[in-house]
Amino acid sequence: MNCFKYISVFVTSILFAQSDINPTAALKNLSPPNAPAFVLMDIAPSNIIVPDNIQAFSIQTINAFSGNSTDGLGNTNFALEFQPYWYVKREKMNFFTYNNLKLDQPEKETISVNDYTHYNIFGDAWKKASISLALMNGTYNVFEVPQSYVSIGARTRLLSVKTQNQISEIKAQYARYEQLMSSPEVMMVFAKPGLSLEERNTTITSLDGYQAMVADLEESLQLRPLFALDVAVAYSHFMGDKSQNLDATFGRFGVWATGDLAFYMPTMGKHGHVHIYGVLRYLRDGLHRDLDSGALRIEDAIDYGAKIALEFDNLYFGYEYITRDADKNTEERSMGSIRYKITEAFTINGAFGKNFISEGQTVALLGIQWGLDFNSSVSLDPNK
Amino acid sequence: METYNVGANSPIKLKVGIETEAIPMTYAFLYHTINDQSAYSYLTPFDPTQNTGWKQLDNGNAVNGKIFRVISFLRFFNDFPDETTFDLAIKQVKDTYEPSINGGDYGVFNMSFKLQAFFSTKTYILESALELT
Repeated sequence: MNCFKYISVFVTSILFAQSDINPTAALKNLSPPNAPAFVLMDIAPSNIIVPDNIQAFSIQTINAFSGNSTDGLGNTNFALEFQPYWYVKREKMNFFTYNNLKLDQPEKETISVNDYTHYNIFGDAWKKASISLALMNGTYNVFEVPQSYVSIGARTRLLSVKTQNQISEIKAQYARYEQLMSSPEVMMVFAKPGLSLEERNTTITSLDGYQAMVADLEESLQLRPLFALDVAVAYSHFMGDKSQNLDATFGRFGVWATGDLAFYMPTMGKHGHVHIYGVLRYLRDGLHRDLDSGALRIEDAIDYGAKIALEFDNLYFGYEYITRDADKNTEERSMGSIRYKITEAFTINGAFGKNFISEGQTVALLGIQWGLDFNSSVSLDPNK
Repeated sequence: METYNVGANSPIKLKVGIETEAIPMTYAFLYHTINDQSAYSYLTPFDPTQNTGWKQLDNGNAVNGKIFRVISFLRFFNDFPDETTFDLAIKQVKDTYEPSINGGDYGVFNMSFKLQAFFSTKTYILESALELT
């Protein structure tokens, strides 16, 4: 176990040592700690998650709000999560492909926006795939003193469905953008010799028409799909405890799917949505102890439940109710969660309610997520 | 500035290769001399991911002795969660961007380019210049 901790610290140190970390940028775009490696152990603020806008590389952490390790969570729990998509070269990539729009015929030299007549419902599967590793420490209502677990998990958006209106809007906004960027006003900026790249960029991005145009296009792209199906799988390994004569062994294995039905509600804000989620999870759970022998044993369980969430521009409320149908009993998790973005650089995530096996006790969690900013925006000379 | 030997050949053509999640718009201008402040001819701006073929400079007229500039302006519409992710998207552009010119004495020539990315505006500009001799 200590060996793993040292490796984790070492790897993290290398990353920091190679990084020119900008603390302001590093705190931007916080979202709830929700890596599958965390969710498997029921310590994430929400067990019903969607892989939305994951950082190429992130470190997540969760602490017990009360600081009382006997309640469940012990010391800080870490997870690393990364998206392979951003680290490999993308072939035949363009704006439409990235947004899951497909041509109605084989590729040709000149393509019109109207040639994109199909929507690839599986287009997000590779883009949104992520892998997470976690190191956790807690009692999990099983042990008397906190014990360590190592988890690995993966998740992705298996399919997404956009409405015809949403697709038409994206195509219409693209055509408007292309028209604006071909206007004499814009061409003059690029035709003028002697301007630096920064001067050209500042001039273009300061144009009123440009700013309104990109805002409209971004808004049309940020509308949630009408329906999305996310899947995840995770495994957690118990690292053992020699003081209790417990060997390292199987911890937990889970595979689950989450459906998200999202209704756009402009009256709730520019990005206002009401979400109705459903979740189904198979769990092979080694977090059970035989009362007589004290040995760990494995039980199979099926989780099923639902969640309703209200998404405003800076505020998010959610409530979820999940039933765990196990071999010998049935348990419930009833949790509310909240996320509030105070500024672009600081967001609070919280959750409270009843977790599985918490025997009526209220559980409270507080989490943050931050990204590592390895480099500032690049200015490269390819000739060097 | 790089040079490309076109002699009396025509037409001289441009093609821009790029693989990116952004919307790129490419602008190409011809000037009589390096000191000219306005272009005498230009290509209609185009998205090189949607218009992938060769495009004739100055409608196929001879361009010997002219200055040729190509600028590509990219705007990302991804909701980047952080600058690290943005920089990885930029790396993809840097690795795939290939402005080429053809029709000269020695066939296809890949132009070099300078570039700069701007995370705050999610934009990226690449610029090439060539003296056609």
